[in-house]
Amino acid sequence: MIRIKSMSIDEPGLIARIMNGEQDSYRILVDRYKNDMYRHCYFIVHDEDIAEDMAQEAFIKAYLHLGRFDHRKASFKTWLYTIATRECLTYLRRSQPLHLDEDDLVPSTLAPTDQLARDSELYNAVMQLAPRYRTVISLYYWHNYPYTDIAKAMDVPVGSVRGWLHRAKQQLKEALS
Amino acid sequence: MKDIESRLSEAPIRPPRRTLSAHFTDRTMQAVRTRSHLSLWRRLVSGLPGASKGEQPMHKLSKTAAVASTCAILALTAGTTFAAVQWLQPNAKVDQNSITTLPNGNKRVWINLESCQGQDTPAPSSHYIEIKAGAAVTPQDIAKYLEAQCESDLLHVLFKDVIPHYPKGTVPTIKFGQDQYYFPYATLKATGKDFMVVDIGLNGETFTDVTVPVDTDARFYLKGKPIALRDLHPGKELTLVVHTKALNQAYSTETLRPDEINKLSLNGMPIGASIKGAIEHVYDKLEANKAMQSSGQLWTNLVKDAKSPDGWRQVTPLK
Repeated sequence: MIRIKSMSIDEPGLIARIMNGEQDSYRILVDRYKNDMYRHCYFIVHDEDIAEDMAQEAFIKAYLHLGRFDHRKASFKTWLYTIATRECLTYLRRSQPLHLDEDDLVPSTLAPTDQLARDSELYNAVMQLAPRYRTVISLYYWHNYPYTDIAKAMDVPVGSVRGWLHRAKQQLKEALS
Repeated sequence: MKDIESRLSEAPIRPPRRTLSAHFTDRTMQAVRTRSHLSLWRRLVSGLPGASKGEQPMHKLSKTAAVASTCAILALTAGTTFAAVQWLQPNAKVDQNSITTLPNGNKRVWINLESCQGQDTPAPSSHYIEIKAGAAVTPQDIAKYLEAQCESDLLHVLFKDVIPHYPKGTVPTIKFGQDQYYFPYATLKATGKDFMVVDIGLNGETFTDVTVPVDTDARFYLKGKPIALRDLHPGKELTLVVHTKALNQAYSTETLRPDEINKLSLNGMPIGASIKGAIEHVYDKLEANKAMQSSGQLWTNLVKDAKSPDGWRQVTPLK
């Protein structure tokens, strides 16, 4: 098993090595982004175990399609977020179709860890949003995705992203008023 | 709304405190390995007749390459270990430095294609797989080799952990009548693999008839004469003989039923279940598509589709 000091390797170089057959080097990327990925997935699927599965799936898919990754267009992390977002949304679409079709709030029970949120009131409100609203909030505010990248990640027009973001904030406002 | 905007922007919400352990990384890496192997295998077998059209095949696989890659995938995913070999014919010259240890520790396994049927066979020295020191042979290695060889058959493929046990210098030879064959059974046996896979040839090749081990014995038929397997390798290691005729044909009514597979054994040790388990493992993973079925034919037809020098015939299990 290859153990490499992860910080000493630039990402394009690391990916080139992986592409060149050093499969175990991929471990560095997994370690580097697993928590970010897990949290991002959690915001969308709202379940710790599923979030972990989605994060893992994203890593696997990223590996299998590493040949398509172009570091000049986006960072690996951004690309990974895109894959993870799609994985989560696909999962929700398959398992809970109503969640994506309804604009209504989705009731849910928060895990104890959720209560550790810095702004727990806002956090709870966000987690009550429909998955696609949670997703745009997460990507836009916490991962600094531009609209176009969110649209790409969610496979929807940019206009939808703007609309969802607006509606998400409206719902948050109502929930917190 | 501005307040919401401000709270979202200025006070980022902390996600769940839980962080993923090293175990997650290990599991993910294992999944990456397994999935990439399966993906590769799917691409490989998708080039086979009757396989799924869903994916672009790497190239059209030879039957032997299909056997080899399938075994490799089974070995790497199901944990079943294989040693694989094909009959090495007299002109194969693999007894001459078939494995070279390079100054950097890498091992170069020379592959000779002279005996492959109907193939354009360049000089033997141009074919080799180079294995990094201490590294296992991976499906990627095989794929690279296969890509390089296009339609050519592999004479033999050595899998994970086999290489270190392979002798430097010569390969054991077996004489049958006036013919001499290089057959590294004894060496491969020493590797302790679960199965040895013998991929035999089709019509027109020298070795055309092999039976699978059944009950307490197994036999090879060489030019019509049965040869006890134990004579070839007294250690009685488990041996699975694979016949690939089915790759080129539609499903046969002679396909072994599951209960028949389960009855297969060698030297008192049941092997059918293991084989079946290994196959099913891959089947499960690959969602029972046509490519798998095609691959399954590799295994399930091997007994009753075994071929004699005089033509195809039914193998008679030993009593």
